[in-house]
Amino acid sequence: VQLVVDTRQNVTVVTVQEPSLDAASAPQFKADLTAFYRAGAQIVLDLTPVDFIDSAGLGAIIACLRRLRERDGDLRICGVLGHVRATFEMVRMDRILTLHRDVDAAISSF
Amino acid sequence: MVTAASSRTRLLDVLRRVAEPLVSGRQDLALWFQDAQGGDWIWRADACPGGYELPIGSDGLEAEEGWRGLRLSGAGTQGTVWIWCTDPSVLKGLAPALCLAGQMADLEQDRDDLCAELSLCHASLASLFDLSSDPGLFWDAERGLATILGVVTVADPELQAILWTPDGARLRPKWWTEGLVTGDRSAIVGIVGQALTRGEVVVVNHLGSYPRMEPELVRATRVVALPLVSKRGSIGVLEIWSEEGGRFDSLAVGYFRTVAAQAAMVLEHQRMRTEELAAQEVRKELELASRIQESLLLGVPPKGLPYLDVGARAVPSRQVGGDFYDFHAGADGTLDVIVADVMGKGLPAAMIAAAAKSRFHQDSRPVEVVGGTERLPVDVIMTRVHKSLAPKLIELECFVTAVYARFERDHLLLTEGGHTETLLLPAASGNVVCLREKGEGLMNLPLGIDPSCIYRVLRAPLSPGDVILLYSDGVTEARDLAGRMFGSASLARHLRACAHLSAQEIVDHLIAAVAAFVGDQGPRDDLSCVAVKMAGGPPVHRVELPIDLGSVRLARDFLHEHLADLGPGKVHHELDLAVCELLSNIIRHGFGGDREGTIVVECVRYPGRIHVRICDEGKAFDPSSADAEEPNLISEGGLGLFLVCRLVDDLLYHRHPSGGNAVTLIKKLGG
Repeated sequence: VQLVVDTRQNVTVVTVQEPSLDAASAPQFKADLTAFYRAGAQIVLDLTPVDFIDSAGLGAIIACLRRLRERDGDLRICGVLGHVRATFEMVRMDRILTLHRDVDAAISSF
Repeated sequence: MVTAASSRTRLLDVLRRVAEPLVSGRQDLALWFQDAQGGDWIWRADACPGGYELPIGSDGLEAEEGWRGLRLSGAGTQGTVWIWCTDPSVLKGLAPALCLAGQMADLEQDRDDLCAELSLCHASLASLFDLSSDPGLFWDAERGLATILGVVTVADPELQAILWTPDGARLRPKWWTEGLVTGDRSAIVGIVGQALTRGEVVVVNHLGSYPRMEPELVRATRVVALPLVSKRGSIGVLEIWSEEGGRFDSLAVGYFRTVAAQAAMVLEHQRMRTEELAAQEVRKELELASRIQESLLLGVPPKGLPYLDVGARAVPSRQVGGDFYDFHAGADGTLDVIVADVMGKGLPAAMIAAAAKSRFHQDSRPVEVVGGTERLPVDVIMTRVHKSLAPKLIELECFVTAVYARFERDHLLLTEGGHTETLLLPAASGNVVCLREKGEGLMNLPLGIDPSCIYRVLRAPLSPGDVILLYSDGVTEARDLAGRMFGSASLARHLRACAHLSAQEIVDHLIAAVAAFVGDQGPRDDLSCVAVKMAGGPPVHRVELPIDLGSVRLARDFLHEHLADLGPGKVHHELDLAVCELLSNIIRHGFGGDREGTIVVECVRYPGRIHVRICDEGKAFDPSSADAEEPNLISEGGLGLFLVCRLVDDLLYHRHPSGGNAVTLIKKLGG
């Protein structure tokens, strides 16, 4: 899973350069995200390049959110489009995090 | 048992033993024992006065001249020793020794009593040992009881005994001591009845004025009645009595209790043995009946027919029933199928079924017509069979439900009498329909109700891939542990899910679904099922995948290939996601660490819908039983199956009896 990392205004922006976050790729994705678990870390996950996500991919994001909040950090999501958005809505991910329009909106939400 | 007579003999014995060395050779001394039963010499000197005339009748201890009395007293010893002596000092020396002798006699008596008890225990143990070393004694109740109860009279020949067993409201003698003559009697009267109804030991040691209801107790002085108790309650009474004096003390009763418990064991073993033998008989009969059913009542579906595929299966219930089916293939490629169910169960129903089947067989044979042979129309066959069977069936108060179907190249001719509705699953719509004749005054009564009944024919067009299901009511009326019926809606749903399978796979799937529904108890009624599938349905695309999470991608690629024409729309994505979820669930949880074997994914395109079937050999798991509630998102689990249920139009699971899971997803197009 290719992750492109950029830092803007103390916020780490992680762009997921992987079309499918499914059972095949999610374990690696989840492991890669652990690199950002620092105290107080503020992360934006940009999913724009992702066009398929399954429960394993959602699970990796939920795990990341939980770990960051345990460390007084937080996670914001943007670029949730098309089928990926439909899947997010089906399990009502909005119950635990807000989906932002783009990276800028996500950063300014901190 | 110790009697007064035996205890007196013992006392005398001991007195003599003790006195002998003290008085041996003395001519100036004589010893005489006297008690309520009379007197006896202990030692007699030749110089004894009065020509051995005895000093009986004296009140005081100092009686006739020269005689002095010494009173003995103890638990078992009573009486007076009279001593004749000229020298008073001798008397002084003798008295303590003789008193001691009395006490010794008591002690010896105690010792002998203990020995007797010990030997009783030993005899009881020996009879137990006989039982355990000779299992035949358990099965042969007569010999077993004689061995156990015989010990009672061996211990004390004065005792008599009868073992009673209840038979309804009567008691019957099961075993008795030799020489007794007795018959059966009411189970509630007398001491024996009391022991049986209360389940308690009854001891009466002084029958003197006691009302004796039992003829054998007329001369008895004491009696003990011991209930034989098993898990089922009182199963008999052991009655032991004596016509001699004495008493049944707690030791004796305790011993008899052991004997009664052993006798109860023998009776219980005999009962279980008898029941087991009866059950074996029943099983044998059932096996025979079920073999008869299989060979006589169930026809074999023909193979290699040009435009259709047939499968059939019957599962006999705990009792053999009257389900039967038969097949007659015509030379022209047509196929006649009969499925019928005789009311009732057991061999009578099976025999009527055999008669009906052979009647159908006769009437479905081609008949000579001008220019060749042809078969009779199905409604004519049905009416003819009915007319010939009706009088007998009415006489036997029995009836037969039946469906007769003739499959031709592109249509079905069906006639039906009171049977379960035939189901048609058109490949085109996927909506199961019931085939039923309609018409004025049409009653479709079972065969054997109304001799004037006329059966009519229904014609239904058939298309390639269509499936027709004929079955007995045992299928739809199968009940689960909670008493719910499987029902025709469930049957239709399962039928739809296996549309793309072969006819035999379809019936196997449906029977397995019903079996899973009813659970371990097994079906109460026969389950029989015949499926006919018209050739030429849509192709089945199939891929075999290794048990590895990487297979999720392969499965998705496989779907993309066969659904490419749908475009990247919602339907495609939802099916993609559902398959992805199910597959990764199977790979993660179905196999533990074992990665041997493969997972098979099949995809079939029907007009308006797509079937995807995932088969694996892993642990049994029914995804349709998963919790459909919204997962909490606090943990990462539980999302996958929740998604699957939201993504597909139907989800059916079935576990094959030989192991292996099959999950079918149905996704409607444009829905």
